[in-house]
Amino acid sequence: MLRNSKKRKVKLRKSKKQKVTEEEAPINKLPDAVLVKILSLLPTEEAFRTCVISKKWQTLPTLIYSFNFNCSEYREREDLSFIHNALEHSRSSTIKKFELDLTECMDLCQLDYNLKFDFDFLVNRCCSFAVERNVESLVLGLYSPEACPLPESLYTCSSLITLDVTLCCGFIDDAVISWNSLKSITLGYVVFTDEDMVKLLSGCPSLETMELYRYDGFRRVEINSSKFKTLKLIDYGIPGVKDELDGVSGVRDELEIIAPHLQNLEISGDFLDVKCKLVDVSSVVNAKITYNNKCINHVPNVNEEHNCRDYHQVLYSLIQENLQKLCYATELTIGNWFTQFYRLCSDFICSSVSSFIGSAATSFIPLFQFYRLCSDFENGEGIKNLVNPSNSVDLCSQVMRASSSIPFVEDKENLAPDKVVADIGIAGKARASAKILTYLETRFAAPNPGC
Amino acid sequence: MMSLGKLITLKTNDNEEFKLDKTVAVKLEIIKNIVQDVDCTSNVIPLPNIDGKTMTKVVKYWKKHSEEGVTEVQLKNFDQDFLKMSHSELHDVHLAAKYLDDNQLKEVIIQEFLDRIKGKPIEEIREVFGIVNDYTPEEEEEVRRENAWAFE
Repeated sequence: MLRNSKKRKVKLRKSKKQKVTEEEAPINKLPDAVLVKILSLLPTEEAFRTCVISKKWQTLPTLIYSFNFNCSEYREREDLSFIHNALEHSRSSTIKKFELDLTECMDLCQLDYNLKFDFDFLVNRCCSFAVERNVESLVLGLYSPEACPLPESLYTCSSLITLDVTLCCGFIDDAVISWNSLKSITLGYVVFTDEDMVKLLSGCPSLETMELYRYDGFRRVEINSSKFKTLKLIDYGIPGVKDELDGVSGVRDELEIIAPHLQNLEISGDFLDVKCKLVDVSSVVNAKITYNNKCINHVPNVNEEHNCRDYHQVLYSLIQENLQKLCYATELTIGNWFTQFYRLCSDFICSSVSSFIGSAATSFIPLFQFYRLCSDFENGEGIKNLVNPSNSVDLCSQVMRASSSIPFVEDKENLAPDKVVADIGIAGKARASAKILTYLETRFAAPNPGC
Repeated sequence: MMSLGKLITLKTNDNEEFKLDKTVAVKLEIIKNIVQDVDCTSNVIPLPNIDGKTMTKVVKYWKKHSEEGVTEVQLKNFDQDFLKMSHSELHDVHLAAKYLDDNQLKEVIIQEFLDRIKGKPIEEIREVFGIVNDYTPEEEEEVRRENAWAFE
């Protein structure tokens, strides 16, 4: 109160000279709670500097409840000290979101042992600080997928709802994870062992969504929670890291996915030579399976000579099995294994596509994409044969119509991937209720002359 | 209960009236509560805390955001235009949104204030927002010294 009346006096004095400032600035009329909210959304460094704007702002930064720190490569010492000071000055009793990004300094940490030590100390302090204040959302960019486990203070944080971690290597030994409220987790550039994965999944009873990109270490994901709805696996392996993880020959094993309650599944990006096997995904309704495998002879660190043709045959069977596992999906986006592989084993394709139609198409399927596949069978007879088992004459004529109206079918070589998607998008929209199969062009190493 | 007319009239403190489709208006908790709870004999709801100029803006925002078939891009463009207002108008709309308990509009205004502050040096923030620096030079020096860690 005292401060307010003092402020008013100051203003009155000034108002004689400057009429504009007679009234308080609109932004200063916002309640403190709103100003703190605005400051919480700013980068934390900027937020703390606003203390000198005017007296009203002096203590506001100490109340912010979301933090957003990063450590830049060229001033890492200054940034470190700033973060410690900001935590020191904070008076907030709860924290909504806490972001700490050290990823820019990952190379420095490998060179400078002292810095690594200081970073570990900082990460621990930040996590304890956030956990004590019941943080809901935590974004941690650490510094190494090999030498930087998640700090222990986090393991039993029950307030955590979303967690996003990059550049870390799982948990310390004997860790017990208990993230009872966690709904969504994103992990990138991480090495998690099978054991880490089990700990994680058993410690998160409320988990609904998990996204992994650039990861290595585990070979099995088993999710039994009925709350878990969405799994995304994008880009296997971390470039330049852990090539030696996978046994003597360098050939990676299968990656098994067991998730009977899962509804949305995405497996995309570069999967090197990892054979992704869907063991149980019987509830998936929306699947995007567009990952690329490299031909085994193109995978680095493969010492033995492998028979390329055998390898492709194995992959092909796997793809076929995986597609059968997804036969209840109502939206399915697949890569172009079919067209790449049919030259090798066209009989398989025929049976696999028709079994797919047989199992999935009790109602209309937009079949443009099937036509695309089937057009390679030289004449329309192939299509008829394929479509007839699903006993729909309409369907068949539709496909034939499509064949004449879609130019790309004739000109396969000049086909632009987005053109396919666009056309299928239209087809999909036209039949909102129909089962939709989207066919995407992706690169999959086929046994072609270059291979 | 209010009669079942399709239009609801909102009356501001300077007696300006806004006729709104009921389906638009009842999306807001406060209007819904008035419609349901208050035993009104007319369809006029008084808004004693909001003036006509501000309410014009709020209603414009509501109408656009409840338009059928409006795309994300159109809404984004609309919001951009909508937010081209003075700080004091922004503040008034925030107050109105707060009174009407319209969280979406409140968030939009807060985000706009944030965008106007972000990345600016202190002197510029003061200037842009017309904030009077009520520190004496000595006081400001002291605050800067105490928080020197934040200015390194």
